Amino acid sequence: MSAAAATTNLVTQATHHHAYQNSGIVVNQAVPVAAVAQWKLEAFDKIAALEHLPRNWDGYNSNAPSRAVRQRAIEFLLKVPGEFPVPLIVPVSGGGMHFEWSAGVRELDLSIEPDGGIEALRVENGMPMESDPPEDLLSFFEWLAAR
Amino acid sequence: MSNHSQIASSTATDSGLPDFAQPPVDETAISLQFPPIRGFNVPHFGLYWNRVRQDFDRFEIQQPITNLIETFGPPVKKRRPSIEMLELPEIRCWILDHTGNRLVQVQRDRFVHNWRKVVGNETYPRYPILRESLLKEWTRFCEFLRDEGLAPPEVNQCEVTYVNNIECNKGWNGYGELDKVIATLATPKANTFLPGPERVNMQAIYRLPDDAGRLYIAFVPVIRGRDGVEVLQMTLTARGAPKSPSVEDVFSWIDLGRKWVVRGFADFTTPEMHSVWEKQ
Repeated sequence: MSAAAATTNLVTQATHHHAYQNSGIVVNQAVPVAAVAQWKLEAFDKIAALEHLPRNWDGYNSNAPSRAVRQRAIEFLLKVPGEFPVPLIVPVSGGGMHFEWSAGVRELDLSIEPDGGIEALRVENGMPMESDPPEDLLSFFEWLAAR
Repeated sequence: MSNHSQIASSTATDSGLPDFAQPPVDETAISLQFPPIRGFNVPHFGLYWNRVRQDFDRFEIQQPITNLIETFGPPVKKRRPSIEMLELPEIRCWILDHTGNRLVQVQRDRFVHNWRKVVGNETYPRYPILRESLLKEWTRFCEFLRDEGLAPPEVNQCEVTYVNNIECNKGWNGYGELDKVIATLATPKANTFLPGPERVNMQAIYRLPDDAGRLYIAFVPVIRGRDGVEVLQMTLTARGAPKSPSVEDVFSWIDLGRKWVVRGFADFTTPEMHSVWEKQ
């Protein structure tokens, strides 16, 4: 329940000073389901399905995106702020993965390379936009949301 | 440090505690907290890494984590605003082994030893191994401080955390059957108004004897970062103060905390799930 509740009687949690505080010593990433947008959950299902691509799925001897590539994609998407439609997600020859979001005249293309590198391209009215020097990738989503 | 072998040998057994061949543990972390080491500065992170680099060949810089102390009795109100003068840039350094399974976290007032799954199919190495590894790394860290002319850390708080990822469809099927996982839970059965819950969050706090600390047990549905799969994450954290900063007392507290974590895990979960996890 949200802290900004509609109830008006004042209460204080009895165990307030003993409430659990996460010390932050755990390293593996996990996000409470309640904090994950629905579009991401659907995107994770699509990413997981790519594991089962057969070898040579593209006729060029490509493998399915590796576990490391899928993990990189999921960890990145978990950090993306805001509400978006479920992106188009397709495998890329060589073992990478490609994401595509469209919002009005704007489009964001994002690729996870087989080595884990991430590349992104913004497109507006069909024209690619240059980013020099490279900007924070997450800011691209603010740009997309501000269409 | 002459009695470290005794510390290692006297408590390295795991007998008497519930044991599982296939525990759902995803990560363990054992933390030693102390007042900031005076004189420990940014170059010391590199010097320390250089000393252990043959075993931990990667590093990452992270934001530091906050100091936490378990308190007992009524909350103490601060009489004046607390102002802390920061003389140094505060950082936390992760140093990782080549697999990424084992890592040590160091900051000016903490030393943490983690084991975690990276791929997902790794075998939990068992507590005696992790304890021995912690003792080895803590000894190396203390020797490093001594060689640099820095004071030994005065440990004032220990923490043992076990993160268990309980996957659905392995002994239970959704939150309407959560009583198949959590032994202390009774869920509404047939002929009740409510359907099965979509999800459930839960937390319980236990006090260790003699105000030695607390055990926190939390159940939270999470998305696992490794593969995007939803799991019920059961985190058990024991935190408290050792009787003294001596290595013997610190490791004695860690053994106590770990005992509470393991017994808490066994008490809180059902015999049916113990079968799934192959209780010995």
